[in-house]
Parts: sequence; C-alpha cells; structure tokens
Amino acid sequence: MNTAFLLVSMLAFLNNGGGTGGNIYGDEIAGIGLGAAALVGAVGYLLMRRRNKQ
Amino acid sequence: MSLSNPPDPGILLHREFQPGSFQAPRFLLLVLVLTAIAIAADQFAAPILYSSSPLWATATCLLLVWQRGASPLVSGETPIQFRFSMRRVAVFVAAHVALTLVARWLSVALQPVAGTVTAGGALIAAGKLIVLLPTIALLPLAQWKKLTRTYRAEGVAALVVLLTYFPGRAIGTLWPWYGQALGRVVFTLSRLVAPGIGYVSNLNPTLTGADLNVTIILACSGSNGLELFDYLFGLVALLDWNRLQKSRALAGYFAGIAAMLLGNTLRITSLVVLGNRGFAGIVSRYHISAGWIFFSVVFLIYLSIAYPWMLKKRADTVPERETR
Repeated sequence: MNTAFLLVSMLAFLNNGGGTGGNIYGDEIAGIGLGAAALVGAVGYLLMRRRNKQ
Repeated sequence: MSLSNPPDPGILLHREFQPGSFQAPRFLLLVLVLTAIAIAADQFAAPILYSSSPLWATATCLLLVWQRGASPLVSGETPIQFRFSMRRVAVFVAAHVALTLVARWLSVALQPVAGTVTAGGALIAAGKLIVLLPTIALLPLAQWKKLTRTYRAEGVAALVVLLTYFPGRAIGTLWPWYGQALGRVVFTLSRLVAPGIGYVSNLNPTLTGADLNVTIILACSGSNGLELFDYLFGLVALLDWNRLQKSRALAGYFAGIAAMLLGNTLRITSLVVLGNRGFAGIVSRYHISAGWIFFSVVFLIYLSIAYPWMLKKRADTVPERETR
C-alpha cells in the first residue's frame, strides 16, 4: 500500500512542467519543494504511527 | 427542524482510533458547515473579506469534531440535545448579509491598505475574522457553554489554526526586528566555525565572507518551514486526534514551531559556513532544494521525539468517563 502510494506520488512529481511548456518558474520550484518535503514528512509520520501502534 | 444527538458513551470502548463518524453532534456539524458556507459566500460577495484563516479554522473544527465522533459527556451532564430554530438561522443569514453589505461599502476606502504589511493592513486582516461572529446567533448561550466545555480541545485547535497557521503576515510584520535577530544569531554561530565572516546590518542583513556573501531576505525567514510543519502537524492531529493527549499536543505544536525556526537558523548558518569553506558553487545552486530537505529532516527528528510523548498511554485510551 505504502509502496503504491510512493510510486503514484513519484509519477506525479516526474510529470511536472507540463503546464508551462517545459519551463519551471520560481514559485513552481517552491511548490514542488513543499510538496516533496510534505510527502517525505507524511510518509515518515505514517511509518512512525504504524510502529507506535504495535 | 429538530436535531438531537444522544452520544453513546460506549462507542469509544476498545477502540484506539476512530476514522470519524456522524455520531458527533449533528447539530454541531451542521453549525460548522453553515458557518463555512456563509464565510465562503461572504468572501465571494465582498472580496475584501477574503482570508483563508476563518475557513481553515472552521474546517479544522469540523474535521476534529467529526473525528472525535460520539463524545463522552462531562460527568453528570445530560446528553446534548438541541432544537434548531429557523428564527436563529434567519438572524445568522441576516447578520452575514449585513456584514457583506458593509464590507462592500467600505471596500473602496480600505482597498489601498488591505493586504499591505502595515498597521492598517494588520487591522483589516484582524477585522476579517468578524465573519465568524454571526455563528454565535445559531445557538443559545447556554448551549455554547456546554459545547465549549465538551469540545474545548477542538475549539482550541481551531483557534490555533485561526491565529497561527498562516504565519506569513506575522513574520512579514515582525521582519524588521526578526530579520535582525536572525542575522545576528547566524553571524554569531557561523563565526565560531568560519572566523572571517562579517555582518552588514540592513533590513535584509548580509553576512559577508571570502567566497560567498549571504543576504537573508524575507523568503529566508523560515515561513516555508513553518508552513510545511503546519500541514504535517495538521495531518498528525487529524489522524490521531483520539489518541493524542490534548495538552501535550498543544505544547508539542508550539515546540515544533520553535524547532522549525531553530532549524531555519541552523540551515542559514550551514549555508554561510559551507559557502565560505569551498562549497560556494554548490550552495548557490542548490540552497533552495537543500532547504526543503533540511526542513523535512528537522520535522522527522522533531516528530520522532514529540510523537510518542504526545500519545496517550494505553491505559488512558479508554473513555474519559471511565477514568474519572
């Protein structure tokens, strides 16, 4: 389940730049950074949560 | 229309986590949904009222009340029941209409100041929270008192979201002072490791070095890290609301804010030091991406310490009524 979630998320990140003709603007980089960091944090939290439930 | 909700105190037995339920007081959920709809309508009709904070605060309260599900009652109290009055709904709607008309009437005068980082802009931002006031009219005062006692934790969480979740304005207002303090601390720390560092006091302070000068602008204030922390802490609170010790969660939230600001200080310090220790090119090229990685690491370290501490112990996860 977690692996599938990670794969889908990575595909979403790989598919960036589609709306700007291949160019990435500064605010998009910030958005991608926030999204990627949030994803890492969320996965870390879910793993920690599972460990704390056991 | 009559809505009542006799909560079932046994519903939480033997369950650590509830995925949310409509066992929560339906009239309270309806009050919160009506509030969110009315605020969105106000902001649509009078754009000067736009602020995401009241919407997020209402949504937070709604989600947490839903997540809590059937609430164990305060000892000795009768089940929460309420007859929803159409007269009160009419007063609520009328108050929102009046508010919208006044806001539209004032918008020409207020527009030049709204959104600016000035005292006037801050006052207008605070004034936008008035859209929450008509909700008081939906329930009698005695009912609000009972709800406040029963749902105090959810109310406090909503208040935290309302006042602290979008720190951009606060940091922007404080930047002339906070920027100086941040620059001075970074200067003091980086000088310990890289002695040749200098400091130029300015609105955006600059740390000078042999290979790289680093100017700390508002975007480096750590507001991005706080934004990341807010989203992730919100996820933790939402998924684990019934497992968290609420007082510890509140303390943990502010400790996390402090940790992210401290992490931001260390991040800038490391950029200054590395930039003047032979890595100027890499620092210039990758400092934004490195910042996000740094914030993720800080959050995960914080969570690994704070999360087990914030959780209720096993014996505490039974309903409050049983423990009293």
